[in-house]
Order: sequence, then C-alpha cells, then structure tokens
Amino acid sequence: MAGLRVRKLADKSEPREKMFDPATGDPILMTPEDAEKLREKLHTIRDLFVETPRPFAGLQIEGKPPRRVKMPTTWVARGISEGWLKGKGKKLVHRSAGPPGNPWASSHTFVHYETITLRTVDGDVVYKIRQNPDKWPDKKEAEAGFGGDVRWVYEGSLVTD
Amino acid sequence: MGNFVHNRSKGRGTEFAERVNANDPANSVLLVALIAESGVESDATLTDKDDWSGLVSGATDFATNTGGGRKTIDNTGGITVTYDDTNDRVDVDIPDQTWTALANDGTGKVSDVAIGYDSDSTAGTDANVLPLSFHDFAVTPDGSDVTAQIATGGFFRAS
Repeated sequence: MAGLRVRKLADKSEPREKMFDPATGDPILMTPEDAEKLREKLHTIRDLFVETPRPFAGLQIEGKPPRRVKMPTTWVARGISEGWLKGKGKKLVHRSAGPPGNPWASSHTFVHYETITLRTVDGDVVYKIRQNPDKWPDKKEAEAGFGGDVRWVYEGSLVTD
Repeated sequence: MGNFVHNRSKGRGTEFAERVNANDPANSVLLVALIAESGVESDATLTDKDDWSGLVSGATDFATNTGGGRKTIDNTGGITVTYDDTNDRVDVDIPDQTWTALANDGTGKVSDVAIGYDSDSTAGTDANVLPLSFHDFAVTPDGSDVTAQIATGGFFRAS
C-alpha cells in the first residue's frame, strides 16, 4: 500500500522573499516589505552574530581510503588552507584560455602537486598524483597550449607502505 | 536571479551525490548545463520545476552556444562529500567546470548554471533528470574558455 505524495500549490501573484528566523535558523517566506524591515533591524545587531564552529578534532575518511581517487581543486585548496591536507612538489602551470584568434587573452592557472596527503586522525594518507588538473591535450598545439577539455581535479593513487 | 535548490531536491543533494559516487543505481550521474539569458524565468517559477523537461517548458531554455554542451559527472568525476561536524553541516563539492572556447555565435548570453541528477544517464531523457540546484552565472561568450568556479564550500550544503 503506497503512501500519498501531495503538493500544496501556491498563488505566486505576490512576491515573497526567503528569510531566516534569527533565533531558530528556520527559513520563512516574507513579503519584500517585511523582509526589508527585518534586514534593517538585523543590521543593528549584526555584531552579535559571531560564527564559532566547534574546534576541529581531525579529519577522518569514511570507510577505507580508496585506491584511486579524484579530488576537486577547490576542495584541495580548502584542505590546505584549513590545515588538514598538504600538497608536496607544488608547481604552477599556465594554459591559454582565450578565443581562437587570441588564445592568451586570458589564461588558466593550475596548481600541480606530486603528492597530496590527507592528515587524518588515523595517520597520514598519501596519494601520488597521477594526473594533475590541466587543459587536456585533445590536440597539442605548440603556441596555443592544449586544445581540449579542462579538468579541475587531481587524480591520485594511494601510496601504501 | 539568485542561487537556490529546487523544491523537489531540498534535503536531497547529499543523497544524490552519494548515489552517484556509489554508482547506485548504475549510470546515475550529475549533469551541469548552461542556461540561456534570453527568456529565463524567475527563481519563484523555476524552483517549482520537477524535471529538466519542465525546467525548459516555459520561456527558460538551455544555452545552445557552440562549446556549451552539458557536463556529466559520474562516479569517477570527483564528487566530494564532506561531513562537517565542526559546523553541523554537509558540503557537497564537484570540480570546477570549464566550457572550452564557448562561442559567441549569435545564440546569446548565458545567465545561469543548472545542476541536475539523472538516475540513469543511458535513458537519455530530460524527463528523468531531477533539477537539483540553480546558480547565477552571467557570461557573454567571446570564444574564450569559461569556467564555473564552484564555491569553496561546494555547490550544495545541508545544515
């Protein structure tokens, strides 16, 4: 016997804005006028909203560390800035990103590493980087750099003792 | 326009990411598509859409610029789920996405990026793609590479 799935339809002829109850954090919809009033009030007490995360007690990989892994560049950069990840053998690489007639009008900058280490509570987990983020060589052209896809991931394989 | 999670996907972004990473169901993927600026509807309208067929059933449409095709992120695509016990939240991250040589070929500007969940990418129908999230991404293509840089905290956060 199946449960019901229903939908409460909305009359959207009047606008609403999503705001958050400052006491509970619950999202609520308000008229734009009321939302503006609330924003003005909140502005006067903004210094009371002090974000204070719990202290970081270490990184843990869920399950066994995978033998092969892909890590987004933004995630790796965040890990380095927060101290739970480190990269070794750093090298900056530039590739063209401009239009065909002016390929170096803009560029991509990639940070390459030889290894990336996740500093977990169970010990360091080291990945040898097999493929760094790059502009992929569908067809390599000497002046324009690489002509293919751009991938913003590190591909690594687990280093085991 | 703003960034939002579609009503159909509220609370589900982490689950979608984990399903894709586990390849369960097989061939499940995240899709990333560019939205044309011309005719794009309001957040209040688009947040109600239940699939990608519905997403473009009104004036909103996918961008058709040469080089602006969809990106597919499967279980080898580098989706990263971070359970953040220090902030009591979950962040889901995907790699930045670049459209190489996105052309200004008369098809207009880009206004947004849509991310969807397809439980079976081999079926090949947008009616099966659940709209996950929608993000501001205003671009005037000129043939350069265009990169959607994912926020430091990922593209989806549940708290």
